[in-house]
Amino acid sequence: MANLSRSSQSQAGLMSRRWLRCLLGLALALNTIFVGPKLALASGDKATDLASAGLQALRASAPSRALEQFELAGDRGLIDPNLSYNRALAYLLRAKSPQAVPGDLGQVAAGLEEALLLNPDDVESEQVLDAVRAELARVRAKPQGEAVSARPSLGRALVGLAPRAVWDWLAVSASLLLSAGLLGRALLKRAELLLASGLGIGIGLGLLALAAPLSFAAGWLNERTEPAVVITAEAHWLDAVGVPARALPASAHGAGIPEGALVYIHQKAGNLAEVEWGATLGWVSAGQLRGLRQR
Amino acid sequence: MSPSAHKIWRLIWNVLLAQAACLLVSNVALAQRLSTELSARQVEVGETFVVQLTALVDDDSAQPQNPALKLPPGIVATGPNLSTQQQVSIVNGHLSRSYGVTATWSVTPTKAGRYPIGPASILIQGRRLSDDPQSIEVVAAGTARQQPQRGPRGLPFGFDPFDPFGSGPLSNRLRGLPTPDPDAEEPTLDPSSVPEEWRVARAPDPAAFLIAKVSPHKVVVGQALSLKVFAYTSYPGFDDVSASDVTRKDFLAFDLATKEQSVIRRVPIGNQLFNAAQIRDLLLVPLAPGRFKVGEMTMKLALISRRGQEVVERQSVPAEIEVVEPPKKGRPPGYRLGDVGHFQLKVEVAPREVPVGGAVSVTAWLEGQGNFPSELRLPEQKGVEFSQPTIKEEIAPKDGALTGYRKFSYVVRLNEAGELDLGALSHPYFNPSAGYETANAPLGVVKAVAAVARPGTPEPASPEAAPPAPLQRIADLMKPRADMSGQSAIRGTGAPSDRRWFYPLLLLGPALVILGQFMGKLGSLVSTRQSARKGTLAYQARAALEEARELAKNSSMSAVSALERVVFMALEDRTGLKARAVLRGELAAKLISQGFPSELALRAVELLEQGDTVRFGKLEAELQQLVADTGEWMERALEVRRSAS
Repeated sequence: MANLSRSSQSQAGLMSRRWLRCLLGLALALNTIFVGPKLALASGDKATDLASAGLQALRASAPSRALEQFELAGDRGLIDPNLSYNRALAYLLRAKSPQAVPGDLGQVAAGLEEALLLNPDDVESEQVLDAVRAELARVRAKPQGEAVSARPSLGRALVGLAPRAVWDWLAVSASLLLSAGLLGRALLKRAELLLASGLGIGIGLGLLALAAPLSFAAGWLNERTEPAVVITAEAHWLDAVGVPARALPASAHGAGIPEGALVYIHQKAGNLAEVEWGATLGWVSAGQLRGLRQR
Repeated sequence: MSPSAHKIWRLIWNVLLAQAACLLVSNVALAQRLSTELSARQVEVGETFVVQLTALVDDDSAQPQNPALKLPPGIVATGPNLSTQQQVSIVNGHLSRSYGVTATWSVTPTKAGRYPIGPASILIQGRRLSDDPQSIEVVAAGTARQQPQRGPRGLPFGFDPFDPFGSGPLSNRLRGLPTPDPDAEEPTLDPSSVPEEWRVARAPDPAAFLIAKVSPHKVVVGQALSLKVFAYTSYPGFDDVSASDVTRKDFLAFDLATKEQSVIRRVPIGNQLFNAAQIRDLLLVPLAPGRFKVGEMTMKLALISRRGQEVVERQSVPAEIEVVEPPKKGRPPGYRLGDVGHFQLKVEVAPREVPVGGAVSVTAWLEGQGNFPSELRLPEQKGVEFSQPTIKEEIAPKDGALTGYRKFSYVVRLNEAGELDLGALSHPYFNPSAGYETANAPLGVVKAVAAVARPGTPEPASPEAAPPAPLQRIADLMKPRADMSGQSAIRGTGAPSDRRWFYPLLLLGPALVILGQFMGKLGSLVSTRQSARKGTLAYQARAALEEARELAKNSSMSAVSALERVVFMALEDRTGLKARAVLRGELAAKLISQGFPSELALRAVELLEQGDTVRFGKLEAELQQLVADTGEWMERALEVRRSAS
C-alpha cells in the first residue's frame, strides 16, 4: 500500500515537473516572440543615437566628428539613405576645410551613390552627385584629361535600360500573353479570334525571349557584383598578383580609375578586387574602393 | 718455336701487359675520384645516419649519373638526394675544373649487428664505378657509446682547414655571411640550450633546409608580427649563392637586421648537429584582414666540406597568418582600422595669447609602440582652424614592434575674440593586450584679443566678397537631413525574380496549356482506339464470355446462349465464316476446309452440342464446366492465324 502511494506521489511529481517544463518553454517562446524584436530595436536605437550625434556635429560645423559618428552608425548596421547623404555632406565639408584628406571627394561620391541606391527617387542626391563628379573631372582634367564616368559595358547598358523589377514583370506579362494565345488557339473556333490568339502567341514569345534573359542578367549582376566607388585620387590597374599591370586591361583608357568613379566588384582576392569600370575589367587594390551598402 | 718467334711473342706480351697496366691506372684514377662517407660508425637500432657518395670528373667529361647503394637486409634507405658541385683548383699556374655529383642517402637500420654499407656506385662515362664498401655497427637502442667527434668542430663530416674549399669562414666572410666563431663554446646535444625559435623538431632534409617562422600567427590589422627565416645544414660550412625575396605580399615590411643574423648556432635535430643561421628577420604589419601566406623563400646554398663545395637549392615552406579586424564592440569614435599599439600623447601650445586672426603653434608628440597614425583626431569648433600638420618622426623597429615618436606640428588660427578652450587632441587605438584605448592631450585655453585697427591700415577683405569656391557651391546645394531612422529607404525593392520559383513559373503557364492540348489529343486518340477495338468480333466474343460467366453464377441457362455467341464470334473473327448459318453437321468440315485447325473445329462443334445438352437438361453442374471449357477454347481459337478469306 505504501509502495502504491509512493508510486502515485512520484507520478504526480513527474506530471508537475512536465507541466513546469511546458510552462517554461512557453514562456521562453513568448519572450522570443514579443521581447526579441524590442531588443533588436534597442540595439538599432543605439546606432540612430550615433547618427543623431553626427547630425548635431554636422550642424555645429564639426565635419570630422560628424563623419566619425556617421561611420560608426553605419558599422552598427544602420542603413538609411539620409545617413549616407549626411555622411557625404560631412566629407564634403571636410574636403573644403584645411583638414581635407585626399579621397574626401571620392567619399562624397560614395555617400551620394549609396543614398541613390537606397532611394532611387532622390533627385537632390543625383544633382549633387553630378556636381561632385563635374568638380572631380575639373580637378583631374588639369593633369590627366580624363573623365570620371565611363560608358558602361553593352550588357550592363542593356540591363540598365529599366529597373530589374520592370524586366521581371515584363517577363511575367509575356508568359501570361503566350499562355492565353495558346489557350485561345486550342479552344476558339472563330477565324478572327484564332488570328488574335496567333498574334498573342507571337508577341508573348518575342517579349518572353527579350525580357526573361534581361531579367536573369539583371539578377545575376545584382547578385554577383557589388557597386563601389573609388576613394583615392586614382586606383591604378594591377595584375592578378598585385603589382602594377604591365599591360593595361583591354579597353582601359588610362593607368587607373579616377576618384569618385562608380565601379562594380566582381571578386575579391586578398587585398585585391577585380572590378568592372565601364567596359574594362581589371584588378585594383581593394582598399582604394568603398563598397556601397544595399538593402 | 724459333728464337725469332719467341722474341715476337715476348714483345706482344709486353705490349699487352703495358696496356693492361695503363687501363688499371686509369681505372684507379677514376676510382680515386669516388668517395663514400658515413655520418657515423656506430648507431642504435632505428637511428638514421647519412651515407654520401661523391663523384668528381674533369671539366670535359660527362656528368656522373645514376648513383646506387647496395644495402644488406635489415637496413632501409631513402634517397638519394642529388646535388651538383664544382671544384676549381690552380696547380703550377694551371687552372683545372672538376664537376661532380654528391648522392646522399638517409639510412636506418632495423636490427642490431655489424653491416656492410655499399659499395656505393655511380655511372661515369658509360661505366659503373664502385667505391669501397664501408661498415656500420648497429647496437640496441639506448646502448650506443658517445660518438667520438670527428673533425675540428665535432661535425658529422670531417673538416680539413687546408682544403681550399673547406675554408667556410673565409668563404662566408667573402660572401658577407655570418662566420662561425672559432672561440664559441663547443656544441652540445641538449636541445634546451638552443633558443626556442631556433629549435626544429625534425630535419626535413639531411643536408640542408630553410624554415620560415612567424609569431604570432593571428593578429589584428595593424599589429606587427615577426617573420624569421633560418637556414640549417649538416655540412661544416655554407655560403649563400643567391636568394629570392621572402614573400610578404599585403604587408608592410621592416628589415630588422638584428645581431642574431651574424651568429651561426649549433642546433641538435634528432641525433644530428646542424649549423644554423638566421638569414632574414622582418617585422611585418598587415594592412587588411584575411588569410595570408608569408615566408616563402628560395635560396641557393653552397655547402662546404673538405671535398669541396656543392650548390643546392632549398625553399622554405610559407607560414599562414590570420589577420582579423579588431572587435567592433567598444570601438571608439574616430578609430581607424590599423591603429594598433600603445601610445602616449603630449602637447605644447604657444603662445597662449594672440590677436584675433593670429595663430598659435600646437606641437604634439605621439610616443609608444605600434602602428603610428598619419594624423591625430582634432577638436573642432567655430572660429578655430587647424592647418595640415608638419610631421617629423623617429621610429625604428625595437623589441618586435615599431617604437619611437611622431611629432605633429599644427598652426592653429583663431578667428574669434575671447578665451577659447581648444579642446583636446586624441588618438584612439587598439591595444591587443588591453582592448581599445585613447591617447588624449588637452590643449587648454588660449586667449584671442581683438586687434586695434591702426589708422591707414586697409580693411581685411570680407569673405562674402570673394566668389564661392566650387566645393562651397556644392555644399550650398546640400542641407543636413534629420530623419535617419532607417525607415526612409524605399522598401519592397526585392524583385520578383529573387524568388526561386520565378523562372520555372514563367514557363509554367505556356507549358501547362501545351500539356493540356497534348493530353486532350492523347485522350481522344485513346478513345478512338478504344471504340474501334470495341467493334471487333474478338472483343465482342470476350464480352460475351464475361456475360456468360456472370449468368452462370446465377445458374441461368441464358449463359448457354452467350457461350454459343462466344463460339460463333470467335469462329467468324478467325475464319470469316458466319457459323450460325451453317449446319452443325457440316460446320467442322467447312472450318477445316478454310484452314482452321481440325482439333479446334471439332471441339467447337462439341461445345455447341454440349450447350444444347446443358440448356435442355438444365444441368447446372455442367454449366460451370462448359463456361470454363468455352473460355479455354476461345483463347486458343483467337490465337489461330486469320484465314485469308
